[in-house]
Amino acid sequence: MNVEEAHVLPQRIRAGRRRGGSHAALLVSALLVAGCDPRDSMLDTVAPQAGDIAALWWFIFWLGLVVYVVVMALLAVPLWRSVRRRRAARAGGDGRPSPDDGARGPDDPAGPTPATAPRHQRRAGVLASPPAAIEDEPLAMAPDAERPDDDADRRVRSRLVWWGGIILPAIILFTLLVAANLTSRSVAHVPEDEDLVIDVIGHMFWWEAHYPDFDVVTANEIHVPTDTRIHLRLHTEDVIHSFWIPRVHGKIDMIPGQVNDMVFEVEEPGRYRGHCAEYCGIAHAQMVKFLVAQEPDEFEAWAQQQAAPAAEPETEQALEGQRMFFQYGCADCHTVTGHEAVGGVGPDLTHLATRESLAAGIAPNDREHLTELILDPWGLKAGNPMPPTQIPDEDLEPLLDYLEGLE
Amino acid sequence: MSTRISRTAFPVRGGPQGAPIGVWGIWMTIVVLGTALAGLVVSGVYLYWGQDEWPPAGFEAPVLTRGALALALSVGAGALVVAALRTMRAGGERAAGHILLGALLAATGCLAFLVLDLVQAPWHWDEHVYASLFYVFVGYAATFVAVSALMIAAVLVQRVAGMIDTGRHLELKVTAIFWIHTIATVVAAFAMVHLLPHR
Amino acid sequence: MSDQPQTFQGDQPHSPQGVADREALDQLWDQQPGFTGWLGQCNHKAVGRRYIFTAFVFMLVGGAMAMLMRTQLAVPDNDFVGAETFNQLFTMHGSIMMFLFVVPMLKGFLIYFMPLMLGARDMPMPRLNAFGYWAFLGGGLFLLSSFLFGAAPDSGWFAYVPLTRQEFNPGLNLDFWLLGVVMIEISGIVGAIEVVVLFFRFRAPGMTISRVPIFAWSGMVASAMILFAFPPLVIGTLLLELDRKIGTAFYDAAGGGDPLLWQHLFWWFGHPEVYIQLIPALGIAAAITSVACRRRMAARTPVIASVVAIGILSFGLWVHHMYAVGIELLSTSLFTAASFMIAIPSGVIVMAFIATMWWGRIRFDSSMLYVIGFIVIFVLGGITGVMVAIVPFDWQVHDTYFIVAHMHYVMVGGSLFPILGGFHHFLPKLTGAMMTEGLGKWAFALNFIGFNLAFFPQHILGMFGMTRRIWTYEEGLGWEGLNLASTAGSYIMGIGILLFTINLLLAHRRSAPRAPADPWGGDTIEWATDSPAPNFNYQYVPVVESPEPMWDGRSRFAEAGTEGWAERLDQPRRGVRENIATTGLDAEPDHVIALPGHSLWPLFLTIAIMVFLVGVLLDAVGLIGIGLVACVGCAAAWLWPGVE
Repeated sequence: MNVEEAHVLPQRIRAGRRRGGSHAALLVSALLVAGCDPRDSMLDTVAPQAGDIAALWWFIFWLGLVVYVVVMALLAVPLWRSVRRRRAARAGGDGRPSPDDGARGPDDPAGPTPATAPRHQRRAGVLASPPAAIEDEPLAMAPDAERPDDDADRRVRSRLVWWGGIILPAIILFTLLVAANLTSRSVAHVPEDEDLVIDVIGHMFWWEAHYPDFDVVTANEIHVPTDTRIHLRLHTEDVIHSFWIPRVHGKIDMIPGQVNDMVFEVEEPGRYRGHCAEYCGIAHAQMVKFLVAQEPDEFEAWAQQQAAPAAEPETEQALEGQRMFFQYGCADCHTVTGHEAVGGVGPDLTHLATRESLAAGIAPNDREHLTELILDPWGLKAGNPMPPTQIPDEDLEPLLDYLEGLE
Repeated sequence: MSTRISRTAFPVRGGPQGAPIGVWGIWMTIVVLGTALAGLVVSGVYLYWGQDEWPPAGFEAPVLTRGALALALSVGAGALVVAALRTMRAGGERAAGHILLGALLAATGCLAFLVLDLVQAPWHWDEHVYASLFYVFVGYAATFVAVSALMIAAVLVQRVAGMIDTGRHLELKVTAIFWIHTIATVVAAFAMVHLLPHR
Repeated sequence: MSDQPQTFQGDQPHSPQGVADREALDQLWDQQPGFTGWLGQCNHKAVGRRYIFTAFVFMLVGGAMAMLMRTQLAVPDNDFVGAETFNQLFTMHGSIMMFLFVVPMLKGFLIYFMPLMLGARDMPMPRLNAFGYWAFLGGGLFLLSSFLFGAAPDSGWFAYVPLTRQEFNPGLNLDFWLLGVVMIEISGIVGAIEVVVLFFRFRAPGMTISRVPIFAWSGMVASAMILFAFPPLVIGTLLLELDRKIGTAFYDAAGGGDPLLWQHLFWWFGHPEVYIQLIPALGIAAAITSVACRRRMAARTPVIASVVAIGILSFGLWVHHMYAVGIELLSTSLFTAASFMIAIPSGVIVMAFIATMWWGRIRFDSSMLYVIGFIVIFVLGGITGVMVAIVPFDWQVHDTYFIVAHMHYVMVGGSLFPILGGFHHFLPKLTGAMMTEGLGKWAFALNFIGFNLAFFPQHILGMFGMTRRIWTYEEGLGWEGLNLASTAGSYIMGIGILLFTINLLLAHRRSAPRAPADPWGGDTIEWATDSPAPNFNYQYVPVVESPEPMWDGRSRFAEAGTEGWAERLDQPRRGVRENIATTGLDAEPDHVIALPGHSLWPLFLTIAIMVFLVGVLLDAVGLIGIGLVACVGCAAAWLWPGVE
């Protein structure tokens, strides 16, 4: 194919994507009826990358559907014919194949069936005579070469195998290969210098995000500006995780000893959810992150606010809570910038109160869940590396006040 | 009933033309072990490719002469086993026994050098994948040299007990074929430890 | 007789001398008396039955685990089993189905039926064959025993590092998995060696390479694949066990190793493994189809060529499990093309099945229904397989329920259904029993409907963002309805399997009717002998003239007294089990070889290896030493000339 065509095809696929939107709407509405309202479907896209993949999906979906229907139709023909012939034979009452049923072999042997024949006869005689249950079958068994009148039969067989098994699949697969490579190129992760860089680090079982340009560290809720190319550098602290936001782009693994790149651009503001996609241990199911897309100026404001050190405790109670934060060992693991807590093991809590979720996206950030997370981390999330802490109520309340004040 | 006789149906020709089943079995075993060895070598090369430095800083290479001697002795032992097989076929049953004894000594020598290499390695296997690879390759080769030496010893005992002779010596043939793989493991170990270009 | 369409002469004696010979043969090939005689059986029929029985039990165990998992996932925020148990369940479900059910089950079919189809009396190395079974049993029990110690493997059947290294998995869980799997792989490899040698050397006179049944071809191809696929995984598990036990650094990025090495080694094995499970099942389906359609298989030669092509191509696809690990796009695109390529031989095979049915008048036995179900399901799995071979689409659906659905469509459609059909078809030859058609069709209907209800919704779930291997999910993600449907489907399929099992058991009750020698009008020679196959398989050596000896009207049993070798085999004078070895391609009689019939050494060797493995598991140097010495001793005793 020449270069021009190569440029045209993605556009065609994009055009298909717009049409795909209506298919998606159709599918989604059908499923709504069935009681399904997917929160994060890979077809309900908000980024051009996921959009291209969704367009590719609709292309391969329709192609695959046609192929499947054709193969099933090819399968249905002999099944239907056999059923019809059997009915006809049964209606004929003589248990013999009717003349038009395509059977060319001799009729069934008239000998006794093995099940009823005397033992010696059964053993010493011809063994291939079928029992009663299958007596009405035509026995077209001789090898092809000995049935010269079988030309039609053989032609059909050879056409089925050549066209259905080799030629058509080869054409379809080649078409697919072209489409696949075009989409691959349009969604490939090719970082550029002006991209907004975010380092995302996978942990068992939460996500850490660094914004080197803004000096921001946060966890589990990754804010990005819309209509900006984002370049995620994916790392892991321990085992393999996989970063995936279905509505934005496909997944890329986070692998020890290497840094993988992911490049995308979000078109609509919103909160997009995604699970960890590579099995990473006991709490793999509860390792969720949100990609929070904001208008660029909102993002700018957010980043500036996050870059600032933590707010000073405002009330007496909260000040007491800050003391508890050190006394009960929270500061051994967690960092609160500006408050001398530099644990660096667990999620950074400097601006905890600005996040909407807790424990890697599995619980809303409210007092009740915060309490549960502190007292019984495994109750909220089995496998959580955070140890349970025994804190009497009179100490817990100030601590919660302090944490809720970290804006 | 048809009585046409198939061209292929008979007769059994003068004597067995194909290889005995035991020989098929040992060749199949060598295919399997060879695939395993290839897997190990490819893994080693893959890990080597992933390194910036080879050997890594602070790791001195093991002694070349020991590896070379082990390699020479393994080839020698294999050659002696083949020689014993030829002598046995030619009717020299006693001479074959003597050659086998020589092969056993060579194999033991090879094993000794490999074990010495392991014992005297200047670093521990958990320090770096470089060291891990050295241990696993030399250890792998040593294991198979030991097994092959045991096989020679068993054949030698059978020879002394008169259980194998010019007419029937499948065990010796199997041992000789098995040495192909044994030598391959020693060659692989030598190549992976000493021949990978430094960078 | 002249107007009879088939004249495969019955394998029965015509004279009093023949009757006496038959009895002597029967005794010669029977097991030795007593319990040790039973334990020490090496005949392929005993070993094959054991494989099939054991694998069936493992299937029920693995299936029960699947039901537990589906129960857990039926509703959001469920607490039925909890995270820890769920992770053990999905790991063991995968491991059991892959290592302890499909491969050993198909191996059982191959070991039982290939000698019968090829006209041999036993496998070429009967003791090695017995060892294969004991190693499978030992490895399987070793793996399952982890539940007793509360240390069942919990890192997935793929055991990705570094999650499986000591630092993240300090318990014995993974050691159970690694050592058990090595044992099972050894079993797989020795079985494969047997089948390959059998295929080339133990065919009936006249069964040239072009006349070998498709079933036997598929068995040989799958076994040859095992020879090249399993050893690298043994190496991979060896390196991982060394990492875990003594702290080497092969997979440790901090020590210069590379965790991706494991993925390469695992999928080098893992991808061919899928086809190793598919190809013999295709062979079973082909055997059923040509019999049920009363037609020889259409496009026989292209089908065999396709099977071989799949076997070779399947080694070039392993990276399509690793699209998301950060390999550059150009390399992954090459693997896309390679993955597409394998769709062509698969298409040829599916079309050949359809073409065979095209002119035949299909007899809708339960076995044939399973074959039809296989095509309906497998083609869909194949189409989604082509989809997930596309890099960007795979980036979206990789490790989601879309893959779970795809993989079950391929594995259940491609392996389980032909196996269940194979039970219906081959049971007469296996045990002399026949399964009831009515109950069989009900079981098929439940299995088919249940399967589709369980797995079709999972495609959609995957596209809705449901990742694999999660033990729970929140409410409000839009996954509830589909998950509930999937669970309902799995229950229906569970009932189907239960009905199938009941049918199987009922077939063996005392009063059940016994099967005739050839209940289906079969095409290959195993239908010429009694049901179940007698101890010696065939009294007279079959002489084969076509790929369908029962139908060609020319194949026959060699007449006694005409040939030296035939006479020797017909009349067991010397009290030695014998079989005729033929040449590799033309199947001309080459020489008569003696086969051992009873040995306990394979069992002892297995026990010795188990002692060694337990020693490694528990870091007990004493046990390791005892095990090693015992291994050497058992191996020497086994191979010592003259010892049985």
